[in-house]
Amino acid sequence: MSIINIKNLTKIYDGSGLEVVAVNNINLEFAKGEFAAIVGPSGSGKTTLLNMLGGLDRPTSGEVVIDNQNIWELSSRKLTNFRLKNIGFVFQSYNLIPVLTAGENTEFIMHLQGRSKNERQNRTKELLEAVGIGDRLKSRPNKLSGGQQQRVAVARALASKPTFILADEPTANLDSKSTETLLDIMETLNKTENITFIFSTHDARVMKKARRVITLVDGKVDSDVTK
Amino acid sequence: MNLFKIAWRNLWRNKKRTLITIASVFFGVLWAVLLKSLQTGSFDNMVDNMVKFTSGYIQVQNIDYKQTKSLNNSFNPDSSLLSLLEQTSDVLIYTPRLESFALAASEEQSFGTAVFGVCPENEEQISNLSQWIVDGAYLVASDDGIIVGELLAKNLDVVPGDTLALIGQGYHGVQAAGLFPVRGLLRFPIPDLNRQILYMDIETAQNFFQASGLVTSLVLMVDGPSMVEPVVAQLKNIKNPEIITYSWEELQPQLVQLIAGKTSSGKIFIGILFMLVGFGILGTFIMMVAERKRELGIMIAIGMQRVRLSAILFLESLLIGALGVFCSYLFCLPFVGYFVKNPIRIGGEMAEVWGDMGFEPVIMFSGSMEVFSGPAVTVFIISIIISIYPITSVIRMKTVNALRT
Ligand SMILES: Nc1ncnc2c1ncn2[C@@H]1O[C@H](COP(=O)(O)OP(=O)(O)OP(=O)(O)O)[C@@H](O)[C@H]1O
Ligand SMILES: [Mg+2]
Repeated sequence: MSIINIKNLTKIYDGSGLEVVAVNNINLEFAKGEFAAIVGPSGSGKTTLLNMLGGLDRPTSGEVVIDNQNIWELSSRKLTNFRLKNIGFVFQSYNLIPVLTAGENTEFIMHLQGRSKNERQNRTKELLEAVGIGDRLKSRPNKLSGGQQQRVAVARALASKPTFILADEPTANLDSKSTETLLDIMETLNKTENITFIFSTHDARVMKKARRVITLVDGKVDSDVTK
Repeated sequence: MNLFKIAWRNLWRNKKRTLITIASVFFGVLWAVLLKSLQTGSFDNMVDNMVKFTSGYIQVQNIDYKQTKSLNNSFNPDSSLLSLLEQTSDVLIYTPRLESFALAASEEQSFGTAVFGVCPENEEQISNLSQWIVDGAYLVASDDGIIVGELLAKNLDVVPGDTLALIGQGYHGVQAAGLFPVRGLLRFPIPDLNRQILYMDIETAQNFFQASGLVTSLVLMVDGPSMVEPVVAQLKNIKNPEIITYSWEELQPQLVQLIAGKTSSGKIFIGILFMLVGFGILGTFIMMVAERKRELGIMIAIGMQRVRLSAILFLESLLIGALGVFCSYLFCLPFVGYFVKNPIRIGGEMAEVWGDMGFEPVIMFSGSMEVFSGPAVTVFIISIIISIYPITSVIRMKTVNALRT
């Protein structure tokens, strides 16, 4: 059963008279528990696709249906709420709110969801331990390495108990060891908790770990391989 | 982890910049409070002096007297008027005055002088006249002597115990002349008065000017400036068409104008000051929003409503203003408090210059509520206006663009 349904999705940028078709009539489905990589050359439309899928960038045409909800039919306010409830985000870098500690960053999203203090604190501890930095709960982002920051970002993305997690090149700024650690964490969460991950990457090692690899070329799906 | 905590921490991300911004608010409020305190203090004092020495808060006069200050425009306060004043409970006390001019002559010299016929007891209660006696004694009831401005006495070369001859024009142009023993000398804080004023008992004055039973004004004392208007309103409907009631503002239009002029120039100065402060804060917020664009985008992306995010920025703006005001008050309150209790007396040549301009040579401060509340309210309003910038930035922000930075 698919939880995400992308239908005829197109994004055309119309900057200074020059039209760029960043995403060109894409159709895709994602099922619960997938561990899918979106790959392709620079400029092939990976970020654009993920942003439309995540309710951040409005498509020129087409639909994104998540849990039977066409998300681009929602008002901006409701869409924000939808993201809060259903989508976890991990960006390439500088994901975290600098003035909040690792723990507070993780808690923040549960705070927005209006969860009780008790639940927030317990879950934060759990999650930070799951991503292997339970001891850095009280550290501010600038005291953490890039890899540690990305792990906090994963913990934060998980904190809201989302339907799926979107990660746009989560390892692009990491060294190979941190990349491996982060991927192991994501893979473990995927396997043990059945968390759905959709991430984009350039990195061949990351692709290898994915169970499904969708390759974009010029905004179109060039291949879609499930191992 | 509430919004306040996030706002507070954001404030201290760039300590130097925040401190500079707070300092600009601090100085803005400081100047505004000091200027306002100084203005209010000196205006209150000016009004106080003028009211005390000359007009009183309220006067009842003949309808023509204001136009032509002549004995011929004096009036006889009849029993119905006096009983009305007695019945008006907000009139604390009233005193009659007969004001005119005369030539004062000693053996050597003669000078023109204002002559005030007053009721010594009541006048004492209203204007505390005896406090300015520096030599000799104050008048007693039905005194046939006079008390004289110190400089006038000096110019005439008389001291208490000597006698002055006064020559003038009495009621309806009759010749007025008499000899008056000098009882005491007055030193007012306004030198102009010292040079050209003398007082005598009102009956003595009425006899001198041959104006028996007549007064040029009845001076009414009320409990502070706020009582002036209601009492004037009450007395406006005196039945006698020959008689009219004035407030001090009507009697001293130049003073009212002077104060209005100074107040508005002060307001312009403070306005410019706060505009500069406002642009300073705005600059800080423009930089801050630019620097934080990505993180603001991330907060929206992960599900924070823009309205809530705006609240953080609004709080930051309020906090900068509030901290500036708070620091200013910490400094101003004791400072102003000290000078309210200890006005700065000006000495030497400066004092003479001020005196010649008709001002008491003293710098007074006011510690009234409005001195402090005005700048605080202004800063509060500025903070709210400034916060429009970060708030609209957040409301209009294109999340994707913010994330791509
Ligand atoms: N705001 C924009 N205005 C105009 N064109 C844009 C904009 N954003 C992206 N594009 C264009 O859309 C195309 C797809 O960009 P996108 O960022 O999605 O590619 P990508 O696959 O994520 O690339 P990379 O691997 O470098 O991150 C590119 O040609 C890009 O120049
Ligand atoms: Mg990209």
